Amino acid sequence: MEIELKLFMMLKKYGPPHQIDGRSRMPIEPGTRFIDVLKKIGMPVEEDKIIVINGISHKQGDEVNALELKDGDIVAIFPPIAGG
Amino acid sequence: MNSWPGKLLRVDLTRGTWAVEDIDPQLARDYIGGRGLGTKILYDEVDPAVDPLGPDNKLILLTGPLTATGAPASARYMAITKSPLTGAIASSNSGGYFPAELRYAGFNGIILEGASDKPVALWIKDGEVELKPADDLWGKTSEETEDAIRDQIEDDWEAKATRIACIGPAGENMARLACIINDTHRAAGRSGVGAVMGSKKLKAIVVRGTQGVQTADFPEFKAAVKTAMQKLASGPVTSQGLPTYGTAILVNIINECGILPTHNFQKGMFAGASKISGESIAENIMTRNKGCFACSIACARMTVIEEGKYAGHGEGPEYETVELMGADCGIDDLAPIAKANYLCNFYGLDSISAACTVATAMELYEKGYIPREDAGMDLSFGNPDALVGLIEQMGKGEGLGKIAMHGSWFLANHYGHTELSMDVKKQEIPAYDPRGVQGMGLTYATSNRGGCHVRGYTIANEVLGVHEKLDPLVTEGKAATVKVFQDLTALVDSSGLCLFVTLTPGFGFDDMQAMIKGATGFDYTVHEVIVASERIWNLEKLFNMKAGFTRADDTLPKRLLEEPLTEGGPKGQVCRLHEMLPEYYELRGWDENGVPKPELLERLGLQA
Ligand code: SF4
Repeated sequence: MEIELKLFMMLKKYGPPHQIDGRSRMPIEPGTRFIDVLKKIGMPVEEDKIIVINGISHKQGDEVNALELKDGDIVAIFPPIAGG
Repeated sequence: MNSWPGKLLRVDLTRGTWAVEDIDPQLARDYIGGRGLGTKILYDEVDPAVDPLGPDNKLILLTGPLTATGAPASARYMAITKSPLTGAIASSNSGGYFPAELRYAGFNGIILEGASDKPVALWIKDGEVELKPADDLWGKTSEETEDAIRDQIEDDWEAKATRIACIGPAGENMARLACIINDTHRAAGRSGVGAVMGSKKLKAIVVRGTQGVQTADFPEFKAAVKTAMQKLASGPVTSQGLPTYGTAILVNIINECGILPTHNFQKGMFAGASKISGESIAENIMTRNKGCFACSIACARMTVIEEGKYAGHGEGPEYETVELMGADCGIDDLAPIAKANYLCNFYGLDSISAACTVATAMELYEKGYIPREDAGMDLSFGNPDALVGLIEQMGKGEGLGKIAMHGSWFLANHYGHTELSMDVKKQEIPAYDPRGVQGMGLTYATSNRGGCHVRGYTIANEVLGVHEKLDPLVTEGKAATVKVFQDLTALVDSSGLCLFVTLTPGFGFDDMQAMIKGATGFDYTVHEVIVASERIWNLEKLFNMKAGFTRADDTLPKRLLEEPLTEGGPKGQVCRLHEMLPEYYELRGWDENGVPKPELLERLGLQA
């Protein structure tokens, strides 16, 4: 099982070296939750971020942290941004 | 020193005369300034049924009580008139340095009425006013116009310090997508305000001022600004995002959420998104970032395309422009997008509407509705030459551009397929697909100036989670969110601040109240400024009703209501406007037809 991890802007620093565009594939065990991914890449759980999983943006917090990931899931994490 | 409410300059272009008037303090108090006060003046002085391009329409340029005060992002003015694009009220916002200079010159606003029969330019210097012939400027682009005007000013320093707002050839041709350009690169972009200026044969407004701007209660004002600045400093607008990457920072996240308009809103994801993102702009074409007057956010980008057929330089593109010229036209190359954006600024075209119009032209062409001989070029999606070529034609009023310069609705209507125009009230919809972000659908449908994202930017909560994170796919509660965003925006637009301050967590009515109170000396309460913002929204609505708009106009293109998105997170979704609109009307105090109820009007001190 693996997920596609996309890290944007300065969050790329949490990804593996030599990544292209902040994208990488991460093998996961069954039962892996979103919070486990954060721990694995060393990103502080409390750090402000925008989370988009499979094209749906989520509110930061317990609910998304506990979300179990499936094979092929796309997990995108952005720093807080604004524009428009 | 200039203070608020201060003075207005009223110019009669038919007679070539002008007068200086005091702004009525009670009106200033009730309508704040900028967008609100301008709406009030328009409502009182112009019949909403007027021909927008006739001499009886007026063009009102107004700063707000915070413009040029040193409050954060206090750079803005509004252009208010009846729109030739929509037939509804137009109020377009711009920053740069021109608005502050106008206040320095002793005027808080200008009312332009009548129409000259020869091209003229309005020169203002510290309270002195002159109308000069401008035949030599007619036909020039915005940049050429600025250069030619500066050449007429003897003193080198004065020439540099002078600020100019003008129209380009598009405004002269009364293109319904024409904007007013100031400081070469900033635009009061939307709703065709430049065409109204063109109809009055006013080519440029040239301003130089050396008076300061004074706030009524400086210690109170300073304290309020300090509080607002602290909030701003901890928020995402001043963090790495905007200063480093500009507004186009949004491209990747909006694409990730499946709401990036692609191929004239046929899809919500674009394979080339990262190539046109803010990161890509910063890496490839940006030379430096730039801010408006007194703005530390500095979201603008100076960019250059060094060589090749798209070579050029200028400011931008902004998120909306790069998205619509890019994904919506199927183009993943920054060079032609930057070039098309420069052309919009040179010719004085609204880059958002112009880009959408090209996307509509491309779909009309691919479906065989625009014959090849009319197109004169291959208008297929993804053809960069078509983007640059058609924008050039629109700017000059040539070829297919003669029709396209009036916008996507006029173009689609000409070829008998208005269903392919992605507009609300004939104004093009910006760069978020409301099928995957429901509140934006309500924002678009109810915007008093037609398709527009900056009348209630719920993306802030539905996607970015700035104040609180909402689920973009639900409709529940969105009516209330939209109303609050609309009201706060009406207040910010009336104050002279840039809307970007509202992208700060926790920034709200109380911050605005404190700063406006300190600047004006009116003892506003928070309640009073909230009521004022509702009053402004409802007066715009009353103007539109008198101009003939009804509930039937508060809608979206059929595509967005009926054709589901086909991929990504919002796959299978349409915009469920019908679930939000009745609740919205109710929250506004309107009846089921969207007509303000008498008790609401009484509470707001308005008359239908
Ligand atoms: S945020 Fe950007 S557009 Fe707004 S005032 Fe600042 S530099 Fe200008």
